Order: sequence, then C-alpha cells, then structure tokens
Amino acid sequence: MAYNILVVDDSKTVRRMITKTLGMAGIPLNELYQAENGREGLEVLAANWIDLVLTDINMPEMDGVEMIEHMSDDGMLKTVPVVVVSTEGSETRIEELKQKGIRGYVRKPFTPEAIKDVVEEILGGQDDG
Amino acid sequence: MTDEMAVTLVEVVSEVMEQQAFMFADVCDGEEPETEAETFLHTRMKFEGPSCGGLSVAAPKGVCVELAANLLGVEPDDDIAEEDSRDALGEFLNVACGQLLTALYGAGPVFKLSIPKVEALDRTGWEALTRDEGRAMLLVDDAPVLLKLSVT
Repeated sequence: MAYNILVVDDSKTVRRMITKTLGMAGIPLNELYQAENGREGLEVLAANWIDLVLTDINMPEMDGVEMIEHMSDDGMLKTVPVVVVSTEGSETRIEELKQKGIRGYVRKPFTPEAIKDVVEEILGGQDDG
Repeated sequence: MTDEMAVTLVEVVSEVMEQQAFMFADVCDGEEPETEAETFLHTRMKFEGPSCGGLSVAAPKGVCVELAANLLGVEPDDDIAEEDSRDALGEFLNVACGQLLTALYGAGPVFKLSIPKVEALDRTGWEALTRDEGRAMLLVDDAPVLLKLSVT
C-alpha cells in the first residue's frame, strides 16, 4: 500500500528535508503534499485523501495548533493521524497537543531516523488494522 | 543578557549547529577574526512567556549557504543551497530559540514564538552588529557568527 502524506511547515528547507527523509526511508509513497501553513494544510486535506500529516506548530497565517483543532472538529479529518515536528519544548504544550489527538511528536532538530520511526510506527499500525 | 545566559546561549547554538547541520562551532574568546565577506544574513525572532525577549543570529552569506547545503544533504555549490540559505538560517534560529528557552527556563513554561525574519546585510550593517557589546561570537569554519539574546 502506498501512502499520501502531507508535510506542513513554513520552512521550505524543512519540507525538503522531510521529503528527502521519507524518500530515503523506503516508505511507500503515492503522493507527498506540501503546505506552508495550517490554512493551506486544511485546503490540501479538504481536496485529497491523506494518510498522515506531519506538521510544524509555529507558522504564519494559521499555526499548527489551530489546524489540529480544525481537524479535531471535522468528522472525517479527526481520524487522520497527525505527527507534530516542532522546536516546541514545553511539556505542557505537548500534553495539550496529545489531548487534541496528535499521534506523535518529534522535536527539532530531528534525525532522519526519528521521522522514519514515527511514520513507520503509525502507518505500519494502520496496515495491521 | 547575564554571563550565565551568554554561556548557555553559546552552548545551545553550538549544539544545534552540530546536531542539525554537522557544523562545528568554537567559542571566540580571543582576538576576533576579520571576515572578507561582503554579504551577510541576519535573522531575528521574539519570544513571549514567563520571560520575554528576542534572539538573533547573523553570519556571512557563505556560512548560511553551507548551513543550507548541510541541512539538505547537497554540495554548497548546488543551486538549491544558495536558494535556501535565507530560509535555512531562519529555521536554524527557530530551532535554536526553542532549545534555548528549554535550557534557560525548563520544559514547563509555554512560550509563544514569532516567525523568524531574515534580512540581508552589507558590510556596513555587519560592522554595526559587531560593535554591539551585548552580542556573542562563534567561529564556524573560522568565519564569525554573531548571536544576541535580549531578555526584558
């Protein structure tokens, strides 16, 4: 099964790093979508079937928390697994994000292995289900 | 910025540079080097929380191109490294700021971070930054990198 993954980050460098990591990890990809902020992310989610979202928090226009809240309020989107990839270091904030339903958290600076492991864990789990 | 904060700043920025971009930084605690660079990039961002302030990093453009190249796993002369140099420096600051706030205040507090702003500087702008007594300097491949933490 090949997956559709959405990467949401205002840094094109980070989007390129994650894209390269996913490609090198051998994760079967159908489409890799990119968005620069939460608003664009929601637009991609509304128009496409997405299996996994990797999102930053601190972004202009709409941040990652607001995007996750919109997803939580949507009957379809709330089932899409979300992994936060962020420089956020506050355990309070991370716990809040977990309460909102995120499936994983990777802190920047990240290693390719950290991205690969969390993606494989979540998408592998979907295969099992 | 207290002396203790300055030490933490230098440590955290050095660690992020090493972990994120495999670039090794040395503390410049002796005579400060001249640079022949003519173009520089300067990025700054603010943070708000239990403590408020700002963090900035400035470096010769060549260091920023190398930073982008290492982040992306390409050669520094690859066009994409030049293209991403501004973005890479901003992202580097974003990561360093998050790590710095944890190092200074622990993992409990919640901080709101602004989006990093990046601007190009000419030699005059760079020299003005070097005269700021509140800044710290790192050496990356013998090139100077300026850091400044302001806490209000």
